[in-house]
Amino acid sequence: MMKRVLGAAAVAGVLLMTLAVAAPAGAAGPTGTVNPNPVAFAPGQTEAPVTVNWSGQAANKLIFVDICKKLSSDPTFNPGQDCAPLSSTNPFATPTGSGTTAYTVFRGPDPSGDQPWGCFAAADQAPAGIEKFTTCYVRVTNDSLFNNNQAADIPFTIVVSGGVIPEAPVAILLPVIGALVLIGGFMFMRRQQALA
Amino acid sequence: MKFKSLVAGAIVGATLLTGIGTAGAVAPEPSGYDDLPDQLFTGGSDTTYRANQEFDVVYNQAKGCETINGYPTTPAGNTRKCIGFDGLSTNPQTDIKGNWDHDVNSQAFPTGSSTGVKQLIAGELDMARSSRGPNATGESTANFWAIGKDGLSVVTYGTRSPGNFTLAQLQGIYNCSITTWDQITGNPADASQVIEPVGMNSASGTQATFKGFLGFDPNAGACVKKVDTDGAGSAAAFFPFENDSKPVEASTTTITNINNAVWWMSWASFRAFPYLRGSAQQWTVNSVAPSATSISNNTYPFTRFIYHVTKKVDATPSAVGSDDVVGATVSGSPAVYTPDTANTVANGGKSGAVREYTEFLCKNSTNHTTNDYTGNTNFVELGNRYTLTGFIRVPAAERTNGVCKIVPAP
Repeated sequence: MMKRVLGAAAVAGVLLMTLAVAAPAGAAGPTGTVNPNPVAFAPGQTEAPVTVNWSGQAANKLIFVDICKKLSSDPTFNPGQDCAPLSSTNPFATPTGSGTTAYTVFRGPDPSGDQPWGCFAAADQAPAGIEKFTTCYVRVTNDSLFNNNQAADIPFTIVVSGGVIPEAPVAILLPVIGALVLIGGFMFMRRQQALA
Repeated sequence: MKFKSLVAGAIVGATLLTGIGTAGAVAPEPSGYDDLPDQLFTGGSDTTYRANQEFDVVYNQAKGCETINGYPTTPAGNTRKCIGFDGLSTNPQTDIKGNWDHDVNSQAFPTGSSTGVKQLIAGELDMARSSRGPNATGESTANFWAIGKDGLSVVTYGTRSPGNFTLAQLQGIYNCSITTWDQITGNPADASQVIEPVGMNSASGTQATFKGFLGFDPNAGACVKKVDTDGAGSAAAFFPFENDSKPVEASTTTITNINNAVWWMSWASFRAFPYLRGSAQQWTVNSVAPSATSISNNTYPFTRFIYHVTKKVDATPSAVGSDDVVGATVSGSPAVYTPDTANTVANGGKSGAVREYTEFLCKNSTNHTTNDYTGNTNFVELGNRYTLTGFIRVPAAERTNGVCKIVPAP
């Protein structure tokens, strides 16, 4: 009985931890994260610092980080009109294809003023003529802004501080729960052994 | 009988006169369009060559008047002219926000910004491309229209890891007072690594701009390298044209170790064209990385505008802050240029075509029409071309006329 419980706990723990690793990627290839995410803005605040991490990019190739309103896989995606022109930055290339950079995300209309869209919190009112997106993407790719094959599109959302901040993301929760299940199973086994 | 003939003649005459009388109202822009297709020729900067080629595609395909399409015509030579150019009919097109006359612009192969501006002033080009602003003297007949923004990326090659240069360090490198890499990195192991600064063709606007940032000619130092692309040695070496790393990386006789080379190039070219970039990696300057934001807000130290250059008499804003472009009348000495809002300057010909092309680049989004090939507005199409070629539009805070910033040469 004890062995079954322990086995089930181990299987559940490993499964959850495996899911946690797989969840952010969704598929093999370039991945990345934006931290924090959701991004908290004070009322009236239009820019907020985040940290962008990426992996799976080509080694020693110039990195492009941008804020876009569409996935790179969308057949109509065009960086010229679907990404914010002033959001573009080029962190140093790395030999591993992994890296991190401090970055700024915006809330509201595209900061250049030339694009008719923006990234908003759910409760925000977009100005007339501006299309409202409540999920935007930090897009990381390499060598060329137009490299869609190796682009990682990292969705992010915006919350206004004072509002309800959603629970911790799955990528953090799953490994924590998995580890707790494993520790619990171990403790249960120790207790059973002590009683015997 | 005589009376009937007289009446009929009067009717015909009146009809003809009426037709001619309304003809002038057909073309939408009395300051530039004349219902006739003109061919323009633009030359100069290497940095902006690709961007301007792209802008031409958008302009040349923009919708305009319905044209006479038959060939041959009677009288001869009327093919491609706007229907109604002769005042005998009205053009059926009502959309007047594109390229009404179907003028055509093309870009000459780069010769450098300074050469292009000189050729414009001498009348050998209709318009010029420039990656530098106006000189203090000798260019007073020209208007420099900033159409986009760029930065200068300071780069190294090969295995050299990028870091930070201060402006003082760059000045020291190019005046040959800083000669080894340990003076930059602080690493004693770099003491034997001799810095090899590379110069640039002096006709280039990118060279002129860097010269302005350093405060002296970057080609002047004895340590500054030329390139030798055919292996013939230093006797045949030359200062390379801007933005293309290939001659720098291929120059094995004049550059001893490519890992020790330092150069600079257009940030836009660096980003947009991997083949030009080669193994170059850009450094931060004064601890600021070149980016769209840092170039837009001028926190990056090496920012610049890119320019579309016209003669003032051909293209001048109709008023302060306006995106309407007219010709200019000139009087007095020194010359005073006055916007020709009364349209006394010749409407048509190449001068008018320059006016309309300039207005197309600079006008606000609401004054553009739909592109027939994409369904986007031509404002969006031009924006896509900026992105494609690595530039950003003139930031909103720096615009003076439409989406441009006008800088009349003094």
